Amino acid sequence: MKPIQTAIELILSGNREIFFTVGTSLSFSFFSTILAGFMGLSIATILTLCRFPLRRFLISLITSLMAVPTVVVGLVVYSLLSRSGPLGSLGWLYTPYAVIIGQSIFALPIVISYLWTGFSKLDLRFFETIHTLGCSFSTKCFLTWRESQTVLTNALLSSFGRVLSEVGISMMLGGNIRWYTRTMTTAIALETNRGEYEQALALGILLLLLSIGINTLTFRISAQGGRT
Amino acid sequence: MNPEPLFRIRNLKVEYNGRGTIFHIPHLDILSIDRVAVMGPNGSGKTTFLKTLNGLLEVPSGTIFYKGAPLRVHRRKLTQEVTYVHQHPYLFRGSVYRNLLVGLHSATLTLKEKERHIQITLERLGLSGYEERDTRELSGGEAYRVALARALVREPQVLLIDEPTAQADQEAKRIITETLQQVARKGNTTLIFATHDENLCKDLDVRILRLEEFSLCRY
Amino acid sequence: MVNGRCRNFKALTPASAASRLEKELRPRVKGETPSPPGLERSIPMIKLPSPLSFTRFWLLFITALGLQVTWMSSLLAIAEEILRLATTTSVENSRFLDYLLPAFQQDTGVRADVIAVGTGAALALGRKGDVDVLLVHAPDLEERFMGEGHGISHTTIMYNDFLLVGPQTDPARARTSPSIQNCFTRIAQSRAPFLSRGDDSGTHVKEKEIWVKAGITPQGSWYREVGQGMESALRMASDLNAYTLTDAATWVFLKNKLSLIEIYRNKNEPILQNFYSIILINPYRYPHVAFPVARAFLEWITSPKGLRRIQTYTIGGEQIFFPVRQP
Repeated sequence: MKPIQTAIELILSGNREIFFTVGTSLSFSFFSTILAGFMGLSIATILTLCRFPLRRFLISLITSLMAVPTVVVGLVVYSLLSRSGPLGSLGWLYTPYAVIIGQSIFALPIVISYLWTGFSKLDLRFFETIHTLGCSFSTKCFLTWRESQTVLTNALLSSFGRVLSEVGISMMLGGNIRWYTRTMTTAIALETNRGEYEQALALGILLLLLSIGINTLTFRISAQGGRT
Repeated sequence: MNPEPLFRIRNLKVEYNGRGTIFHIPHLDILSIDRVAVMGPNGSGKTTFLKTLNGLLEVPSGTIFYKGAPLRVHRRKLTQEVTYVHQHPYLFRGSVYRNLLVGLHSATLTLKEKERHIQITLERLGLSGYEERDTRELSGGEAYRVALARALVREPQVLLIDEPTAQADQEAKRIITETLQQVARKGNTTLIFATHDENLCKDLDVRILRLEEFSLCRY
Repeated sequence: MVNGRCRNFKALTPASAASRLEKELRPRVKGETPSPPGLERSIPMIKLPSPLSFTRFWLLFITALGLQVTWMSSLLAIAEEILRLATTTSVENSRFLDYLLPAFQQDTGVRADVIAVGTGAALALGRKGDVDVLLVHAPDLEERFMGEGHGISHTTIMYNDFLLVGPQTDPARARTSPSIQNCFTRIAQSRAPFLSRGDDSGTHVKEKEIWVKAGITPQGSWYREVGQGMESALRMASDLNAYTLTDAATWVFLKNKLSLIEIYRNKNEPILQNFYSIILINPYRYPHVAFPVARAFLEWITSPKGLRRIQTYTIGGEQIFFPVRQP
């Protein structure tokens, strides 16, 4: 009990560095979710509305990409962004840009999967109706999105939660630089490594609270949406 | 008078997977001035037939020509000119107005003109003033008429309707029949619908296509 | 007239017929394998309250977006130049850089981003040119690094020492040893618990060097390789009442919190000396390194001001690092 007590005291003391870390985590997750959201939405919509060869193959490929561990994504992006790599001249490694890109790439298959599943749950009659009403492709897109608002929100929230608690990418691409790219998860890793368990626990508790908050929000929204 | 048939159906055969033939139409011509009622017991494939005409279902065997060319060629045109109304239609989220607006999307009218058009169509179906109603609040009959309005507002060349009067009460039946009569009278829409309703056929002076024995005759 | 009667005609309701049909014939329309037509939307429903109203949601979103953009831009606002420094976890754990670098930034306006990883990883970063400067303490590896031409300048700037710590009871009687190898020998002979870093870090490399010098290959349940950082390893040693080799900085930082005591310490014994060097990454080989700021850092840290800064870093009143040159 004692460590937890100390941890809570630490949080309540309003330690500036801890809250800075929380803000950085939220920030990175926010932007990467948006990025993954845009890309994922376009891809998922095209997958749903268009017929082309290899469509099924692509879908199973993307679904299996969901299982890629964060460290692997981190490594791949690292080799691209490293100064001795092809995109090294951008100088994005060890900056927030790299972390956000890495996290978006990681979140992309998740978003696409969620959206794809959500879109498939739409009544077949919906697809038949938009077809028979002679809608243009863009109209079909908008209508599909309108009909699946709950799905969209859920996809974004879930991917936000996922990305918030990942550590492999932030560590590898961000470098865990203090006041710059140190997120809650990398800070936890650092403090654990140092043996400063109270600090790690404090951050862990905050992370847990945030995750619970996001999940509650997701639940409320999907419950509401289910009723419509 | 022998106008070019709108639909030319040859050897259309539809089978269930391993259950045998549902219906087989060796030769059928539908003219643009036609009004065809597809009748038959439940499960005889009326819906399937309608859907193949629209391109919603792939023709398993046989050919269907629309305006002289196979369906495949005409995909874009088909969606513009042929509209299908489900028996239990799917209404989009939002207001009735929005739903009808979707139908008019490809039309080259100004917004004001579209609004007027929507208003008129709703009036014809006894739904005047329903523009701002949310689709979730409508009763079954009202929802169906909205879907019908959505199809009619496009003034399609071919109207495929699945069981127009199945869910309608007396009053709604009357309205729908009247509307369809108007549409038929105007003469520039081909009406093809599936139904059980003998009265409707009587009112509309149709050719009846009986799928289960494939016989085409006058009522 | 053709008889097209269906062979297995069953009385089906229209809805189920339709749904089965849709499943068995391939739909031409884009959509997934259809789920059953489900609830008819045309069933009369009571008016439902609007869900977490999507206008409210969008408002929330826009506010969040605004906040985040402001935050991010302040994070990314590069008012100063940036130096990328790679160092080891033990240097980082001593919090020395938290003391040194703000002074550097104040004097030169350069912000130093510290990436702390294991010694091997730090050198690997140097080999890729992903950092501008290295601060490491592994002379053999450094030599090889310079020999391969990754660094353009190598300067030893400070030193401290390694020492052996252990339980107060000192079961192996290592306290009275004349040399560090002898300590290790006594520990091995008495099979007293000994914790090894086991992670090829600077400390671990040094520990292995001593075992070699003592002519012993440590084996047995008394010798535990933990694969942890120095701080964690010390805490574990304290809990397990084990001996372990540690660097001075981490030790001074933690000693008051642990039950261990200094068993053997000799700052003059060469094998126990721990030299820290700064390597500037070769800009000719890695054109993207920020060489000017790297050089500015080296100049600053070897200037009287920098050296004094090193000297004045204390933990609990004890000086941790000793500059090679006097200020």
